[in-house]
Amino acid sequence: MVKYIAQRVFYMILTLFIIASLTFFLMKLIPGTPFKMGEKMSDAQMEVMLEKYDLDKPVPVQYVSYMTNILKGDLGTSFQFGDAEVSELIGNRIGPSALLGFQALLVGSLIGTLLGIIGALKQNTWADYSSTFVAVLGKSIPSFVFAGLLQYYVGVKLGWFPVAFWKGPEYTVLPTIALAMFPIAITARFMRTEMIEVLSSDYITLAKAKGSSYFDIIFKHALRNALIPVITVLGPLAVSLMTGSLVIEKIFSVPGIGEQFVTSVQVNDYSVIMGTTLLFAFLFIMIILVVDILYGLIDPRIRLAGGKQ
Amino acid sequence: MEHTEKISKDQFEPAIIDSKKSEEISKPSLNFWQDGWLRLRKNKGAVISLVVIILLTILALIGPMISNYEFDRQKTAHANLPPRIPVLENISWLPFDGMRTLNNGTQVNVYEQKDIEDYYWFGTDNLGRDQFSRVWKGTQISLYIAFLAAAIDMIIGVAFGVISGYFGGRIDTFMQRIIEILSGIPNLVVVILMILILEPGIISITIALTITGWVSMARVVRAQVLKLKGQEFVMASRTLGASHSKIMFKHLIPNLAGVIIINTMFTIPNAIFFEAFLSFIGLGLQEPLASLGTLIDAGFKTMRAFPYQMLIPAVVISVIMIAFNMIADGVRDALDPKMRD
Amino acid sequence: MKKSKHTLLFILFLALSVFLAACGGGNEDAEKDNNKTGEESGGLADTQEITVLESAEIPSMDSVMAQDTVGFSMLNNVNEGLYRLDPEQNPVPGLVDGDPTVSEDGTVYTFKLRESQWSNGEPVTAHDFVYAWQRAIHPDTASPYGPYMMVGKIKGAKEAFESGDATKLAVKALSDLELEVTLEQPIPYMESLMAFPTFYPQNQKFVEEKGKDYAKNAENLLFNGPFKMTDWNGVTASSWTIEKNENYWDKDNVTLEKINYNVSKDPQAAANAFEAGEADVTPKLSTPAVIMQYEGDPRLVRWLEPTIFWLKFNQENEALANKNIRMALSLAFDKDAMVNDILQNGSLAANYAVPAEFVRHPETDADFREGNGDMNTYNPEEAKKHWEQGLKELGTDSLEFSLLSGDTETSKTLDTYIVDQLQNNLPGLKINLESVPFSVRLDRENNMDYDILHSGWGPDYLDPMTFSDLWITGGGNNKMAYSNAEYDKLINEANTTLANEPAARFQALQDAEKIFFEDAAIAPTYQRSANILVNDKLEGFTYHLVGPEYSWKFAKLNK
Repeated sequence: MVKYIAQRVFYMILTLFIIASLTFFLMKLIPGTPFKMGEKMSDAQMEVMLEKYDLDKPVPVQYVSYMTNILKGDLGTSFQFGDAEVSELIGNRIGPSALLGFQALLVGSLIGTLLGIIGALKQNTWADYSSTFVAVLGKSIPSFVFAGLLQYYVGVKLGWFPVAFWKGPEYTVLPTIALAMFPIAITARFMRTEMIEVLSSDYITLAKAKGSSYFDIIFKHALRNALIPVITVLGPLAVSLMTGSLVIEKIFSVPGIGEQFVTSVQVNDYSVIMGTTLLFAFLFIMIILVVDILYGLIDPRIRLAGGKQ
Repeated sequence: MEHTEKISKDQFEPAIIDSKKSEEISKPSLNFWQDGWLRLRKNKGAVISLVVIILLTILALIGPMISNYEFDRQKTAHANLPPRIPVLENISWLPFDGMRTLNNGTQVNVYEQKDIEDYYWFGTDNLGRDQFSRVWKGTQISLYIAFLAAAIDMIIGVAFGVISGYFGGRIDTFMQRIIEILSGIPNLVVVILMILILEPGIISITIALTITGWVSMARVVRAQVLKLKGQEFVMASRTLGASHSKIMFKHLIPNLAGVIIINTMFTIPNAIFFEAFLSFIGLGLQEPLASLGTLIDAGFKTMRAFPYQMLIPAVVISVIMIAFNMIADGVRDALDPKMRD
Repeated sequence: MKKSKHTLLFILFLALSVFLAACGGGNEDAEKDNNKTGEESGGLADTQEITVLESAEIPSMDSVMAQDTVGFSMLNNVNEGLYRLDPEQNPVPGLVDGDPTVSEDGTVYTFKLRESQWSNGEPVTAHDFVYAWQRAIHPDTASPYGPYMMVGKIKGAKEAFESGDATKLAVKALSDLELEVTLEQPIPYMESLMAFPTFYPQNQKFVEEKGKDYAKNAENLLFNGPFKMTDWNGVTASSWTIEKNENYWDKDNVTLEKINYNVSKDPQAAANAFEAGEADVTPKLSTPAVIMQYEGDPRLVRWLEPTIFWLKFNQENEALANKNIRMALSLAFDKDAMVNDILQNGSLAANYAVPAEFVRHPETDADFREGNGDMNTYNPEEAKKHWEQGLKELGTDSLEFSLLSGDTETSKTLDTYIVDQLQNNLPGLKINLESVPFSVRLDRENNMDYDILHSGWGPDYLDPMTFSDLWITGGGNNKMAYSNAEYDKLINEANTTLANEPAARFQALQDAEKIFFEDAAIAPTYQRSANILVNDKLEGFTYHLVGPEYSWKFAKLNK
């Protein structure tokens, strides 16, 4: 196991390096100027600006100096936010996004699992259909529509929760619900399919025959075996939830990293794009590693480390 | 036990043991797919959904033609009209009477107000374009994206996942790194790049989807294969000398049907809304083309003033999604080898 | 059946309550803003506290580095320069004490400063102005606005920027309270120019002491304006607070005690927050459908901005170099229908290149527009004539162009409309629409990589020159290869020989605009209106047409 993890960490660094390099060159190919004032600046002024940010040098030279800086732990400074340190920008913005993502994941996977189990146990009854309906609706209504309706009806009309902004725990309620729709849907659907499959397998019949309680059968035997596809999807989903959603953050005025990242791509804020990409990629790869390890824990028959058949 | 005498002897007959008969197959010989189809037909929900999808597809194709107005014909004087349909307009509880509710709650017939003779079945948008034509034109594009995404998922995603999980070892390690790299590079950067190489539009969207759309499927399939490949039926098959490709296609993939289908059902709306998101940030379809995603997006902005502009495409997309999911559930049940009777 | 229904509900309830419990506690602040406005009107409200929504974070609070409206607005409320703009858009004395002495040729200004203090108690002196201005022009600072605002206006600015020797900038502290500024040529709008945040003072000792940390957050800033920033965690902060500055020289005329800011980027969400009583002022609402809901509502405040949008014709394109083709394109779309039926937000159809309600004649006080009126208005028949003439001159019967424009909802809708109108009115014309992000549009404009471009211009100072000198041959913002010797001559005269004769200069600029339209060099589309929601208890809400957007110095909250 230790050897396996050591190997994976090595690959992780390699993968991150490749991602960073590819993103760097792709990003530089994107047309556009990072200077908002571009319209009003004279050519002489533009030269000064390019020089200040090293943008006057050939791209390979910029690449080498950027990579060297990363190794030194320097992610550079932002264009759109008057020279702020990228590490600081990300640090300030990741918190709210991560909190919302975590809450949404928690709520989503709990409710989703329950809906999925209900669907599987009551297969092809109205309970199953309505659980499917909820799950499908959660997916087929775009999040901005759901968020907008939630904000208007629950926030403005009913006044139960604050409409927007980020000032305390109660401000997280509406965005969390809006964000949880997708994890609810995906968990419910996968859970239902897997549960149906597992419940029809021999060992469950055996467990039933042995007289195990209903609860035991579902939560000890069936659930565990149904988890594989769920954690496969939820892993990366956790990353995407925690790294923020442009739509939710915009509608509920959450100072998160998702909105900042999309903006930085649109305004060619190179160092912010790179910094955020590295962070997202790192989280993603980490989660995949964790999920791969979890496979073995959930289902001992899965052996990744050896891989020899 | 004491009552055994009551059963008369003539109730027993010796069985004729015919070794030929025991080999006989009582059910008609059906292959995997035929069998699946037979069972799918029995599932009412799935059949109805199939009909709905076919109807919607037909409407998407002919819809823009049966309306009297082209989907891109503008008439600003007719901007933001509510829906009005002949005959149905007389039924007041249906939302097709050309009435609009103002802020203060009063209802006005906008058509009479503006003295308009035309009938816009689904109303008009902010440029006075016919929403009926636009919704079906949009359905065309959204269905195209849905099928495209499903195909990419099924072909690239499944193959990638099965191969990676089945062979394991170095091949798996290498293929998983590819997935990590593809997921690591921001999609947005790749897509924006497209407008340099290609023009923004349906082709860029197709390519963007092709690059990363299948990643989730590949991972789910791989995980299932990891779980399945150690199981007895695979071992048995291997012991009997089945080739790798036979094991993968004949034994693994049918057992994966459930997750493959469920995952596809998530890829489809993801793809549809990814396209809407791209349009939202200016990289998707270029006006005057529309998709359900862009129509909902535009409608959402005017939701409180003209709710129908969002409602109609939202209903269409929801119906499509629910129908797809019902079919998916039916197909899943029908193909599941464990549930064959 | 029934049982499972209840189970489901119960589970949902359970999940929700666990989750709510997890995030309970500490929510006193939330309700505070809600009920602060009393029912009866008349007299001031007890708590002079409001909540304002901004459309973006503050990218920079360093007056030298600021380049966006939010930053300028904040600087305008917590700092002050020689002048500030009043509710009628006139410059009124800020730190300047009485009228400056101006040399006979109008190029040397000597400003006498009033005694005033920074928020750390140090006096604001003429040296602070010299320091800030020199910092703004120094190439190492790479200030976006510094060189743009100073070069060509303040003597020595160009030399200072190019040589890196900021002392070449002709600004001197004659004493602690006397500032001498030498100009390249007389500037008729000098006072309003001095109200622009780039010309604010900075305390050298403080800035240098803080070094890299200067302006990083509220603690690393000094204030000398009507308010001071009490809470701001830096550029990523989505909320911040300013409070009345007790050290401000004119504090007796400042009524508001505290202003809370929140960032809200979605117009409908901002309107929702306003409806829920969580905000007193929204950002500018750009979506027509949101504005429409408040049509006729006294809380909707609307004003005409001096920002004009136009189609630029790149004359490097052979077909667009043809005057008839350009004229045909300018005349062939109905702008009135565009602003009335699509924008529906009070914007005006623009048939001019210098906005309405922007500048007035120095003597007669007539609006700039009264001199020239509308030019090149919608006329499909005329357009067709020019079009056919143009096609004949080019020896072709069809033309294809691309229209490059922004990716916002508004610009996409307008462009779709314009393309449709042009193609319908001009047979044989095909236009491909290209909607791209702003940064891409900017880049392609700079490289003149477009046929037709839909862009706009908002002024930075109150003078028609900010529009007129865009189009001189080789001008930094021309970027469409337009060149007309006569136009250049008029602009040059306005800048030099006529600089001291305001009326004649005004006339020259009006004449230049006429020439520009005879050439059909651009096709203006509309002049934008701003629409925002303001609490009706808030009196003296003050917006500005150039530079900073809002001043809270003049506002007060009624009961």
